[in-house]
Amino acid sequence: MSLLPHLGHGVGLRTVHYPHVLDRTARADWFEVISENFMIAGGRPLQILEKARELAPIVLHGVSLNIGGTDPLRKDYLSELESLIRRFTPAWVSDHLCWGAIGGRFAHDLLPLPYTEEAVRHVAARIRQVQDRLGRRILIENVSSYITYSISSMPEWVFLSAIADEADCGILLDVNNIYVSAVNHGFSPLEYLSGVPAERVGQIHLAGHSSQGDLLIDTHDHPVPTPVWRLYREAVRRFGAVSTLVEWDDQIPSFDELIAEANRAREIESEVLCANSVSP
Amino acid sequence: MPTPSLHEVQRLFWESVAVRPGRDSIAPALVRLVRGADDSDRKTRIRVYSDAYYLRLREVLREDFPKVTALLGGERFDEIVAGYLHAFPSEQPSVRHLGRALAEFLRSCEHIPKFLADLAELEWARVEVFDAPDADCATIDDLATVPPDAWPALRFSTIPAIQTLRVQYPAHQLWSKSHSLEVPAAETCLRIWRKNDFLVLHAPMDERESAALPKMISGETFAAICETYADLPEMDAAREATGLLARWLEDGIIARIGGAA
Repeated sequence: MSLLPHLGHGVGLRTVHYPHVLDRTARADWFEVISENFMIAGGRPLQILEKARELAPIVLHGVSLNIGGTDPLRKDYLSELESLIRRFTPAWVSDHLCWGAIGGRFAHDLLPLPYTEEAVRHVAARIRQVQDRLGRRILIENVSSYITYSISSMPEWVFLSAIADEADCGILLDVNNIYVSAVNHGFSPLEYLSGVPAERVGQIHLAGHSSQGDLLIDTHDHPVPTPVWRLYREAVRRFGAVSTLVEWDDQIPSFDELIAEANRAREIESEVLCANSVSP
Repeated sequence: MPTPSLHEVQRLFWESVAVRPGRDSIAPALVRLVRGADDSDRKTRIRVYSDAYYLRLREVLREDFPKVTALLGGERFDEIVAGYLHAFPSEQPSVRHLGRALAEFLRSCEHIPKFLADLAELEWARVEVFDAPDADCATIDDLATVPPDAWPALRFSTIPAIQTLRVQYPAHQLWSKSHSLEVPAAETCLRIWRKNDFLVLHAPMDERESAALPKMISGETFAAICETYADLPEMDAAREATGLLARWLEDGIIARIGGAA
């Protein structure tokens, strides 16, 4: 997205990295943090976040906005998000294209939506509501999924694009999620990439996944695998230089190994952009 | 069959996924809504979500209640979690609040030793204190500037990151053990607080401290706090109360020292 800066190649900041923030050895282009982990009154996590943003720009990434849910948007949640934004001035704010709560009960998971016209209208209206409340454009991320609904009337990338257009929001394109869902549902990840409006892609996510029977599961507990790197290469070819972040949430390696993954993304981006610039 | 609304799809999904592990509660209407090679494939896909629901939330509770988990044993704790999630599903966007009623739930369970509910109360208090609001602490030097005749009217405010707990078993002793043990019931008062370096601590309070601390928390004067020692000679009472105050200052639980209200 032209309105968003290119922050480079960052990493998801998790609690195991806090000592590196405190001793200022957590060197990364930028950090993404889970918004809900900092929706607290005080204590160490908020102090860490203050210190992290002295080291590098931060981005708030939410998991519980429930943008696709049918419960009313939680005003208390939006107030807390507003407070975080005021205090930490993130480069941008994102959440997931999914639902996660119903009847006031939260699954704390990223549950799949049916790709219908009703859902497009519903989700786009709620994104507009959030953007009006926050006074800023947000980014919405495609999630991994293990089911699709028989009532879906369009492919996921058309659904994502239609919502982004109607809501006038940005897209956080998770390349690993595209790959996982492509394998699980048998669509072409390249077709997905070509169906997403380049001008709305403000950030890219990379991560690892696991196998469970015939399904791939978005576990964020492995290095970025070769097919995802390959797809990232295609994404850079299509979208150009976009702020990219490596997520790693389980069996988290040393900070240096995490940074090495981010550096690999940087190298791939350079290679692709360099090749593009010399192409006739 | 009419196309179900978005709300109806989500209701069916929730009822099929937010279930006790091992129970096949997948709604046939949801199975029909999901694409797959056959019903077995469709159910396998739906179960990814129901398994994840339980495992994710169980992990959160294990992290928030490590001592209860250790004393109960992982397997028994997991059974408790299944019942707990059914009785007290998460109602907040942040999963941090999930364990809010575990102590209450354990108290209602038959065949669960009552001391485990007390231990759960202590562990939950530690969670709450961990991310309670910040405050600067007063120091012993702040008292040095107070003229002697102003002491009786002094009032104190505690840091927000402090809780007191009255339980029927010595929960702090259970917390220190990593194995099950027989503990006789013994009413116990604890204070749980967060120091300036973000370390969460807890300590048992004797009868006098457990009577005096609520007075300080509610903003009563130093003279009122001294009344806790009214059965002692006046000089001894003042010495004891001053000693208590010094300990509170050292522990970092006093945020502010002020004059008369």
